[in-house]
Amino acid sequence: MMWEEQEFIDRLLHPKTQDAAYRELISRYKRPLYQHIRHLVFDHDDTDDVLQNTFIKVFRNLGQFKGESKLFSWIYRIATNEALSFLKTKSAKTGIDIENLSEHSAQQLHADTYHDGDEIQKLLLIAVSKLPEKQRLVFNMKYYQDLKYEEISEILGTSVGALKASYHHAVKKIEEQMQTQTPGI
Amino acid sequence: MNQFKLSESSKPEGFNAPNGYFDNFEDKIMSRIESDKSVSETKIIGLKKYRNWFTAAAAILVIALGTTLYLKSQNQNSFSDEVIESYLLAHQSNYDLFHEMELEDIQSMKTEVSADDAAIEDYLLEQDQTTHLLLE
Repeated sequence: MMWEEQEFIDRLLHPKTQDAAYRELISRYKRPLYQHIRHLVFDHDDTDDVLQNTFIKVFRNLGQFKGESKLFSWIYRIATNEALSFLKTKSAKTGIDIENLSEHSAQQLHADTYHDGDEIQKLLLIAVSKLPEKQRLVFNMKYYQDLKYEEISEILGTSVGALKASYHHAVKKIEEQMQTQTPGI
Repeated sequence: MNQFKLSESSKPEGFNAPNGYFDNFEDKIMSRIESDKSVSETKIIGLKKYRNWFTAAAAILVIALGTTLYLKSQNQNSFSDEVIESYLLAHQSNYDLFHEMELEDIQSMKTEVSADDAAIEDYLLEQDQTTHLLLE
C-alpha cells in the first residue's frame, strides 16, 4: 500500500508523467473533497471555488510534499484550510460573525435544490452548523465522511484522544438540539 | 416522548452536485494549471531577456563609483592642508589679495599716522637721498 502511494507520488513529481497522474488524483478525490468542503461552506458555488483552489494549491505545492503524512491527509488538510480561509473572507465581506456564518448558510439550505436529504437531515445539518469549529470539523469527517480517528488526527494535527472527546461532545450537543427541534420524534 | 439518537438515525447520502458538475472537472483544473504555467513561463522569459542589461548597468555603476571614490581618496592623500597653505602664501601676490579682499576688509586695515607736514617732508628727503646713494 505504502509502496503504491510512493510510486504514485513519484509519477506526480516526474514532469513526463505528472499531468496524467494529476488527472488521476483529481478523479480520486473530487467527490469526497466536494462533500467535505460543502459540509463546511454549504453553498454549491462556494464549494466549487474552494474545491478548484484546493486542487490548484495541491498541484503548486507537490514539490513541497515531504511524505511525512499520507498524500490523502495532506490533501484533506489543504482543503480544510482553504474552506476555513474562505469562511473568514466571506465573514469579513458579509459582516456576519464567523460563528454565525455556518448556521446562516445552513439555514439557506431549505431553498437549496441540490440537497437530497429529508427534513430531519436538514435539521441535523443546522444543528451541526451551530457547533464550535473544531467539533464541527471532527463531526463532519467522522459522521459524514466515515474517516478513522487516526486519519482525522493526521489531517487536523490533534491527538486521537482529543478527537474522541470532541466527537462525543458534538454528538451530545446535536442530539440535544435535535430534541428541541423535533420534539415529536 | 422518544429521545433522538444519532446512531439510530439513517445516514444521509450527502449533497448532490448539479448535474454534470464532475464530468469535465479534471479538464477545468488542468486548463487552469496550464494557464498558470504559461503566465509563470512568460515572466521567466521576461527576466532572462533583461538580465544581461541589468548586469551591464550594475557593472558600470560599480566601476564608476569605484573610480570616483579611488580618485577622491588619492587627491585627499597627496597634499596636506599645510602644504596647500604654504603654496598659496608663496604664490599669492598683492594683486590677488586685492581681488580677494572686500572694501570693508581694506578699511579695517587702515592705520592713522600722526605726523605734521615738516616731518613728512624730512622723511621724503631722507628717502630720496637714500635712493640716490643706492643708484650711485
